[in-house]
Amino acid sequence: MAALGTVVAAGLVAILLLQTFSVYMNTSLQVSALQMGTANDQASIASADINTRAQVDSVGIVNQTHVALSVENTGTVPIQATSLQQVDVILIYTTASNGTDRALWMPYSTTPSSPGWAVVSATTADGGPKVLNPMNCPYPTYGVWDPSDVLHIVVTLSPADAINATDTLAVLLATPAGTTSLGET
Amino acid sequence: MMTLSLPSMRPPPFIRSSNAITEGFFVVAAVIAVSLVASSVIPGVALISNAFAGQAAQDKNKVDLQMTVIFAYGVPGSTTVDVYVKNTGLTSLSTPSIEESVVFFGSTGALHMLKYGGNDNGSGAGGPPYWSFLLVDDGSGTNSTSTGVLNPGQTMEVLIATAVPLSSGNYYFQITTYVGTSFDYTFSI
Repeated sequence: MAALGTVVAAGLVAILLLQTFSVYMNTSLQVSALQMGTANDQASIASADINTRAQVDSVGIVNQTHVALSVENTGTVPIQATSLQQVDVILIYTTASNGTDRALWMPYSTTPSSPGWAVVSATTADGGPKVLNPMNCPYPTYGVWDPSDVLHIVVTLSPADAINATDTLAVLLATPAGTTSLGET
Repeated sequence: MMTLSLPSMRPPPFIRSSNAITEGFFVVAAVIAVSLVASSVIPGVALISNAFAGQAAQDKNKVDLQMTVIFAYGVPGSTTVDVYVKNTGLTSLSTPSIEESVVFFGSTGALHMLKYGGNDNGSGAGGPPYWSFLLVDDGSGTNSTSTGVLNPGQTMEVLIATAVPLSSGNYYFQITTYVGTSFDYTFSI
């Protein structure tokens, strides 16, 4: 009986220590999970930035409202057809109407004739048809832009934004990861 | 014939024992002491732990909010510059969040922090210089601003209006997001 107080006191201290440790461990685990998530996100973003590359191989003015370009996936990762809308195409050119220089961001188009850029076909590097992961061109909704594959793109402008076809035109293309490539006529 | 035997009616031992009374006081004192320590230590530990968790969450926000300036364009004599900024991170940015950004722009040696001009051609900002933005890409390819959100992979156009016409030379652009991450771009006109 004489040791009852000691036992109770020791028990209470043990409970206090356990509770403190529990609070500490609970938050430590949360912090660790967040830190692991942060490291994972950082690696994911860095990996996309390093491995996602595209190169504008050729640019040609078809007429005052149409530009054709070929773009090769020079990176090491494939780009899904559904992610193509995250590709940016910016034209830098002289307008036909008043001869001013301008830059124009073009939206991704899924329908013919509307202003914007569209994929009309996808080939392998040597110009042959894609056998692996084919796309349902034009205006693909499935398929993959694999490394070394070439997208053939047509940019359609509205008559109000018509190009002075005798002047130089440049095209900047940005991948979903933000890496860019510049091509000129 | 059955006989009943009653238990003895002695009081419990601790009532009688002075040692037991001492033990009782000791137990009560221990309970009070532990309660006092618990009420001060556990909230303190929780507070410190939450501070660490908050810092970790803030670090994650900074990592996840990434932007890349893909292009900037202006011509000599003009008073406008278009800068295309792509969300290359993992989180979306709402229009109010973008409005909280801080933008610096200028030529070498003449860098200025610009006011946000809103969508009223800068009249709310007292005229140029100011910056505004346009969510050119809402993901549907329709050049619409209907979603009001800059999702990962999408691009916004930052429009800069300068007070004086641009001259040829190098220019610097920097945008700092509401979480404190900065992204810059140097280009020439």
